[in-house]
Amino acid sequence: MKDNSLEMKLLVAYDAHADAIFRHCYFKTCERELAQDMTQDVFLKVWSYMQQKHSILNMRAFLYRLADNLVIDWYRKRKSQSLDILLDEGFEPVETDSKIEEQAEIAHSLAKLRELGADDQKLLTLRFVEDLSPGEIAEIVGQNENTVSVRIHRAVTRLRDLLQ
Amino acid sequence: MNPFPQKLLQYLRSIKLSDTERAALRTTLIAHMRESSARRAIPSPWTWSLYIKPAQVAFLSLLIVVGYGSSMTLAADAALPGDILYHVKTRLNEPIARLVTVTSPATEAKFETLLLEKRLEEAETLDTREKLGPELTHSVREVIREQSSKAKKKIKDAEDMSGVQILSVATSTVHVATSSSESSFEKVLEKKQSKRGGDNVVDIEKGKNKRALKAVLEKHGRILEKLDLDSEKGDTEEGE
Repeated sequence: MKDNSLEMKLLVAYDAHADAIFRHCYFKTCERELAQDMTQDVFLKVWSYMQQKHSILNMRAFLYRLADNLVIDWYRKRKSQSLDILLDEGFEPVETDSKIEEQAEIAHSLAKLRELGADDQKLLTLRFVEDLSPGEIAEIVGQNENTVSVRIHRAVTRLRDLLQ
Repeated sequence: MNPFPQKLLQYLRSIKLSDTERAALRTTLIAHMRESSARRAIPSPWTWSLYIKPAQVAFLSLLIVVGYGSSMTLAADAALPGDILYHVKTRLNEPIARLVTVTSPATEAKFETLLLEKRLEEAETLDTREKLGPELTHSVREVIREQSSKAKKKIKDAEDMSGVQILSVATSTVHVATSSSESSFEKVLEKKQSKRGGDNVVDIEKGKNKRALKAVLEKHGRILEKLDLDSEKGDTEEGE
């Protein structure tokens, strides 16, 4: 495959998934600029990977996996930031003009979400925020699809219990 | 069924890159792709190194080390006193050769005498090339003295072990290197032979060693004269 078609393939993937990857990174790092850098790094890594003639079967899952690796590396370097701090520092959406009450409600829901383990949070956001299929999530987390489905189901039950 | 409260879901989904950010990242990505494609168009002369396996790297390294070591050893063999590689010759090559060659006191004596011959030849070569300055002459003289003492000791050991006089040429070389005098050599020889008794044997041995002595003197006489080993004779003097 020539470089031009590879470029096109990557740009299509970028247009389709850049926001989701950014959100995925931002949700875990709570730093907008850092999340931007990570998003950029993810696509640059994909480009290097493509140039080495490696085939990518599921681009979306591959992007999330790379993003996860970057986040893990970042966590290792800086253990202080996490979803817990996300609330402490005020995880406020800049783009939305939510009212104070709404923000309080969101903060409350986020607080419940954070009571779940990191793995459950990841499964739930991938499944219900990013709309990934259990098969794609299984590919990202490196587990069997059935196992992932069961884990998602249990996480949903736990979140519902917490939210009630 | 989505378990996320609607507002939380909306909020989470609202987190995205702004148009400016998205465009900036896209531009960076395109620039990077173009740049790396251009870079790939010129193949690096070192790309082969990416494809070789660790075992091959190890083998190549070993080959280089052995090759380098061997060529250095070979080059050192031709080194003369004052050369950079001379110490490789005397402190590495020759001890290794000694380990391989020496199997008995006789072979050891022969080997040390051979080294003495080598030292004399080196001195001759230096002299021929007119490199034998005062400082080098002094150090060469010392080396020859040291080597002749060593050879003399080994010959004595070998003779003591076997009970017969051996290596007439070797003995002559050593003697010449330490005394440079035919008459003193004869005295020593007679002394040695008389210890064993039998006039015929003495005569035969004497004749044989005299011939050997002449041959050595003929071969190395000029350089020995130049080095003037007698002038600073010390511990190498025949003490018997």
